[in-house]
Amino acid sequence: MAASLPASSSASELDEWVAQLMECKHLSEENVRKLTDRAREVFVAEPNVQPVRAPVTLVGDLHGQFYDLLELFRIGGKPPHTNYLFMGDYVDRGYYSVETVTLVVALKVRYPSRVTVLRGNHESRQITQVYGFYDECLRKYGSVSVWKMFTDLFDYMPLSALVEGVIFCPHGGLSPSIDSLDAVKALDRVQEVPHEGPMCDLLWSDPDDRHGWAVSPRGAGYTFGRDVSEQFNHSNRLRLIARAHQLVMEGYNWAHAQNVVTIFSAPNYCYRCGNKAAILELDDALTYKFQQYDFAPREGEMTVTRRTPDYLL
Amino acid sequence: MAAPKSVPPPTVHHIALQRMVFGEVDHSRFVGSAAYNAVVAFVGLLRAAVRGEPRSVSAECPPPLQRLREALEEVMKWVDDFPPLDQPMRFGNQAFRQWHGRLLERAAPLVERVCGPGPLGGWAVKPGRTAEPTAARPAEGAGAGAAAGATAAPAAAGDEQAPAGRAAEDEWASAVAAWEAASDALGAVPAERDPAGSWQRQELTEYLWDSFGNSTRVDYGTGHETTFVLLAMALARCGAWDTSDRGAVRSLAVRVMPVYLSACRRLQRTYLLEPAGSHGVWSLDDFHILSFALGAAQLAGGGAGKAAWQLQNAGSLEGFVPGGRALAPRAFLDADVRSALRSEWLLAEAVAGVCESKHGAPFAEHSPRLHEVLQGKSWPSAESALFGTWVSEVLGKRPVVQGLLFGGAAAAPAAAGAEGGTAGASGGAGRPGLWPAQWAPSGEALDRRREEQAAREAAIAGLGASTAAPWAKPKQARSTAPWASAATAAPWASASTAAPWATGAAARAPAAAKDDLA
Repeated sequence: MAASLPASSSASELDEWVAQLMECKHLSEENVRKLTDRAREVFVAEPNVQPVRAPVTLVGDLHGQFYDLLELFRIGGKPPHTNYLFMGDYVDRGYYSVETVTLVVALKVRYPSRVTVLRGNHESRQITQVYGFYDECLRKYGSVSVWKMFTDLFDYMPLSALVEGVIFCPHGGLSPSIDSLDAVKALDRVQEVPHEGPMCDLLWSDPDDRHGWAVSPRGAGYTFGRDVSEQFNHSNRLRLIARAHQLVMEGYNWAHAQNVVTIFSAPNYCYRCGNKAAILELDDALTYKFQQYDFAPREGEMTVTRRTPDYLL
Repeated sequence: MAAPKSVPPPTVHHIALQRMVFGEVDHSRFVGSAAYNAVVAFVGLLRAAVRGEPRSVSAECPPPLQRLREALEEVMKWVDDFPPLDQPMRFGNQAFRQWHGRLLERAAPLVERVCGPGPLGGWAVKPGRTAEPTAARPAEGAGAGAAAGATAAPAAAGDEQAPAGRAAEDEWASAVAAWEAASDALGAVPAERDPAGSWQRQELTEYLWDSFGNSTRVDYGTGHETTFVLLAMALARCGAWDTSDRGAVRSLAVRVMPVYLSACRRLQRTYLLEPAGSHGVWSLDDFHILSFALGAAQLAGGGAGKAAWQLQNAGSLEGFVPGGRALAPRAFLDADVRSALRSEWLLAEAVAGVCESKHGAPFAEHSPRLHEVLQGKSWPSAESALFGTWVSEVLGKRPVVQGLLFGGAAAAPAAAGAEGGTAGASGGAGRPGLWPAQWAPSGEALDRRREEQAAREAAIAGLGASTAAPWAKPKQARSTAPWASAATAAPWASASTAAPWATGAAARAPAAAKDDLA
C-alpha cells in the first residue's frame, strides 16, 4: 500500500513514524515490515565502504539505551540538522533495543544522504539470540517476526564508512586478511556475520597494546597493535581509524598514538558501569570535538508516594 | 586479620585442575554427568538447609567453615592494600590484578589454615547408598529460562502455609540422600591415596583462585559464584566438614556465603569488574544467581510468614505462630522492607545489592527478569524460577561451563599418556579428584587443554619467581606479573561480548578461552 503512494506521502508517513518513535513508542509489526522493506532498498545500494562527507557526527554503541539516544540528539542536534554516522550495536543488553534500532533505521530511510548506518557485531541473528534483542522482540510483539525482519535487514547494512577519504570507520577494527580499503569493498557482505574471516574481523576486532596480530579473547576477530594501525593508515593514506565496540570509561579513548579512536555512546552502560558516553563531531575541515554526556536518569517507580502497601499474601 | 606472618611461598609445581569443556560435544557430556549431578545435589542440600528459617536461627559454623569465613574476610580486606590505580583505562581497574596476585600467593596458606594441618579425611563411598528415585535430573541442556526445578529436592517445600516442620525434615533427608549418592557416584576420595593431603589442598587452592573473577579480563560472572560453591563442595569431599549436619550446611549458606557475596561486591565496585558476558538488563543479575535463589528458598516453606511477622514486630520473632499471612515476593521491591529484613533474609541483601549498583531507571527496566520473579504470587514458584535460572544460565551454558575447573586425572585411559606430566605431581592417571570429570574429553579438547595447562603452569611458575624475593612486599610483584601477557590468560576469558559460537572449533590459541560467565 505504501509503495503505491507518492513520495511526499511516504515521507510524511516516515515523519509520523519518527515522531512516534521519539516518544519511545514502538511501531506496529505491519509498519516495521514496511520500514525494513524500504530500508533494504536503501542499504543494498550502498557499498561496503560507504563514503561520508563532513561535517558529520560519529556515534558508537547504543545497545538499546533509547533515552540516552534522545539525550545524544539534544546534545548533538537532531537529524537532518546534524549529519550522523552510526557505527553499529543498536540492539542487545538495553531495555529499548526495539525502539532504538527502529528509530535509527527510520532516520536512515527518511534522510538517506544525511544519516549513515553501519553494521555492528550485535546486528546478527546469532548474537541477538544470546544478548537480549530476540527476547525483547518476543516480549514486545508476542512473536519473533519483528526480530526476523530486523535481522534479515542487518545483512544489508554496510560494513564500514570512509569520512572524506581519510577516516576509516568499521564497528570493530582491522583484519589480518585485509590490507586495503579495496579489499573491504570486494567482500560479499549480504549474509549473517561469519564466525571468521575478514567480514567477521571488521565487526569484532579490538586495538591492543601488544604489537602485531593476536587472538581476541572474545573468540572472534583479532587484536591488532599500533604497528598494524600505523601501517594500515599509512598505506591507505588515512588519518584515523574511528571505531566503536568497546566500553570506554570516558566515552572516547585514543589508542595507538592517535591512529585509532574508540567511541562509545551508551552512558552508564547497563545502568551500572558509571561510564560517560561520547560522540565525535567533525566539522567540514575535519577538526574534531568530542561531546561527552552522562546518562539521562528517570524517576524510579519506587520513589512515588504510596500509602501503606499490602505486601501480604 | 590474622595476617599471615612469614608464610612460605606456595610450592606449586603443577596445576591440579583443568578445564574439560571446550565445545558443545563436551558440554553435552557434562550435562547429566556425575560431576553435574554432584553440584546440582550439593546446591539442593544448601536449598533444603536454609528452608524456612531466618539467618539468626541456629547456624553455628563448624570450625573449618568458620575459618573459611575468616579467610573470606581477610581476602576482602586486601582491597585496602590495592587501591584503584589512577590509570588511563578503558574499563576495569588494573589494580584488580594486584589484588588477584595476592590471592594467587596466599590462597595456599589460607587453604592450609581452613583445613588445618596433616592428612585430610577424604570421601568414602558407602556401598548401596542411593538417592531416592528423584536423583538430580539433567535439565535439558541449554533449556529455556523455565528449566525445571534445579535440585533433587522433592516437590520443594510445598506451599508456604504448610506446617513447615515435617516437610522440611523430609526435604532435608532426601536432599542429604541425593547428595551422598551423587558424591558417591563422583567417586571416593581415599585418604590413603593422599597421605599428606597435598593434592586435595592443591585442588582447593585452585578453586579459591578462581572464585573471585578473572584477573586477565578484569571481570566477574556467575561462573565464579558457582566456583565458590565448588570450593565448599570440595571441602566437604575432603572430609573437612560434615554435610549430613544440617546446621553446618545452613551455616555455609547463611554465615559463609554472605561474606563471600560482600567480598565479591566489594571487588566488583572497587575495581569496576566488567560483568562477564553480561546480557545487560536481560540477565537476572550481572554477577550472581545463587545468592538470590537461596534467598527465595529461605522464604519458601514458611519463611515468608516469619518475615511478615518480623516486619510487623520490629524484627523480632517473639510470639510468632505459624499460619498467619506471609510476605509477598513483591515486598522485596520496597527499600524499607529490604532494610528491615536485610540481616535475616538473604534475598533482601541480594536485591539491595542490585539497587545499590544499578541507577537511572525504574527497577522493572534495569532488572526486568528479577522484577518478574518478584511480581509472582508464590515463593515456591519464585524459588524454582531462580534455581532454574542457575541451572539453565550457568550449568546449561557452554560458555560458562567451559570456564569451570575439574580435578582428578583425565578419564580416558588413552589420554593419560598424552597428558604428559600435567595431570598432577602426586597423582597420575586415575587419580581421584574432588570434582572430577568422568567423561573422555574429545581429542580437540585434549589439545586445547594441554596448551592451557602449559600456560597456567607458566603463569604460576612466573609468580613463584617474582614473589620469591620481596615476599613481604607482594605489591612489587606486579610489574612482572606473568599473567599480564597474552599467553597466560586465566581459564575463562570474557570480554564485553563473546562470540557464542566460539568453541574449540576455531584454531585459536588456548588462552583465547573466549566467552562469558553470564
